[in-house]
Amino acid sequence: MSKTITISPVTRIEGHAKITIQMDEQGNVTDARFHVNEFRGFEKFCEGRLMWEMGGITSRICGICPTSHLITSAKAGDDILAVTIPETAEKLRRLITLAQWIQSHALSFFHLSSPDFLLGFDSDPATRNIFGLITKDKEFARRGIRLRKFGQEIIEVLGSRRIHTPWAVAGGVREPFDAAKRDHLLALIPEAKETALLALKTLKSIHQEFAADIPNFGSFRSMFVGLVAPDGALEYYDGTIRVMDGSGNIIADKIDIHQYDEYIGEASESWSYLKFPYYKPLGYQKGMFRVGPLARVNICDYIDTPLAEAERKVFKAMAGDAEAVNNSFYYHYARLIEILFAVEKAEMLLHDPVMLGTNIRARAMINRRLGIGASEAPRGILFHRYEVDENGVLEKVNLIIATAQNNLAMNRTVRQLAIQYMDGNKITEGILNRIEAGIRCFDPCLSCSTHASGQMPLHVQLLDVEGTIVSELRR
Amino acid sequence: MLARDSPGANVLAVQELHPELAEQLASCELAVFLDASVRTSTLCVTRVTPARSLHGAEGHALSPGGVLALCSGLYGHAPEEALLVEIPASECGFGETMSTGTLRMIDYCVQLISELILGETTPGILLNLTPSPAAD
Repeated sequence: MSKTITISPVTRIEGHAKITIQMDEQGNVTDARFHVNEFRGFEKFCEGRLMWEMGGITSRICGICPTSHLITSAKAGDDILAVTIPETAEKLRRLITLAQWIQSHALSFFHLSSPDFLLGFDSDPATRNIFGLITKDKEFARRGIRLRKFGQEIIEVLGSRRIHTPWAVAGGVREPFDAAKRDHLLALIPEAKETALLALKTLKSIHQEFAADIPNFGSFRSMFVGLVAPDGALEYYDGTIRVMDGSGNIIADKIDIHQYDEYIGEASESWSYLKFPYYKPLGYQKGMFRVGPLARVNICDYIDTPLAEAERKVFKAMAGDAEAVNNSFYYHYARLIEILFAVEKAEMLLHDPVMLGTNIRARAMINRRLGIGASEAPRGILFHRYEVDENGVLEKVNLIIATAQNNLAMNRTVRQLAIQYMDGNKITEGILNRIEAGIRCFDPCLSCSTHASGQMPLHVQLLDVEGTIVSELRR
Repeated sequence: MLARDSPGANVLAVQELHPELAEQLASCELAVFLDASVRTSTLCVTRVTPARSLHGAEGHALSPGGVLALCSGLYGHAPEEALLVEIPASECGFGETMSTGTLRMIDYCVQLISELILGETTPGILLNLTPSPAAD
């Protein structure tokens, strides 16, 4: 009798999802799927709103990524106004984008994933969480929280408020920066840098400990997609699209973001509300690609901050002959490299006198009926595409969210882990946690990609082919 | 309004409860979480205690009990008293402001919380306004 195992909901991610594992009569895994079972439909209900409202609307999609939506929306607005924003405004937007990386990546690593690393995949699930981490290493947990706070502090200082800041707007930003705010943030840099380095050291020591598990965590060749700077440097705010294959070959480069829909298609499946973006030239399924930290650190030629660049070289050395690091477990490593980069780059920007300029906004009327904005959100490249009428009223909206772009790869990761660890009649908590941890490598934000959030106890069901529950496990 | 009229009170407006709030909250004697909620149709006041399980600490955002647990775990101290005051949210569409009913309820709650901070009322009295099970 064939069986289906359901992990619902998946824990320590943002949003609601479940995993089903289909097994045949012999107990072999035949398929495994990551289902996203929530839907809010922002794209549809934005129609009819004014283009200028989109920053405010889309930043409410999610509590973890509002800044990424705000910036990307403002960039789509710049495009509709057909303006080049002042240099000061661009650098201020760059700083807040780095802050978003810091706070989001810090939460992912310290709060959501570290319990697995420091306590072990097979440790008691009752304590395999932030509280268990506190018991194990209180100072490590405190540092992680303070690092996240540093990112939030930048956002609050720039935006003048912690939530729903209307600071970035089409044409620039609303409020200038000043020396007192700069000095306040600069004083926080040393500890943030120290914590980023400590996290890297800790994670690298763990790589040895988990050497047997790591090869199973989504190790497969795929393409990698992200933005790079004109000179090939790691990019986070602007740039052009680069596509690298799993062997490290750059197969498309310097793609203007306005051409994104020539390269990225979106497929749907009846079993998930999360779309399945793919690389159009290769078609659905074959066009699987990954975005986010692993992709960005893979595709860039270099990182223009010294400590992060030194770490990137160590990271790339793991690729061996492939010249691309293909194992999804190393999202964590790439994420920490990006935190270090973001702290270093923030320091560089804070020392730049242009940041204190007062020319921060270009003003114009509606000059184009189509606007596209793109930036690198913590989880990967984010696109906002708006079609407006002559008054700026939205007629069509398309948001391509990073988490969705990883959907095919997340499914492949789940399948690989299930095949490796599942043994027909045995379901251990540690196995389930490994499968969930495979998803957590991507740090998916389902609130952004479909939009909802909540708390998630684990519920596992073994179903026979008729759908009858033959075994059940609750955490 | 609370910050202006209540010396010693610190008012924070947050989209979600995140871990870094624990540092600020750990040194407080009293915490009041004020939330617009779709799970209640009337004003609802419940006592919050530190979470003792995974619940509320598993995603990007925390529950009030999860934040209190972090206060104790990380900083060795949590507010001696914590209340969750939930105001029914009736209109959740995109808009410029809150609904009239919710705004009226906010004014009422601000008054109650001000009295609590000034010692003119007690948590027990607030809890008796709307008896309900303790939140985690």
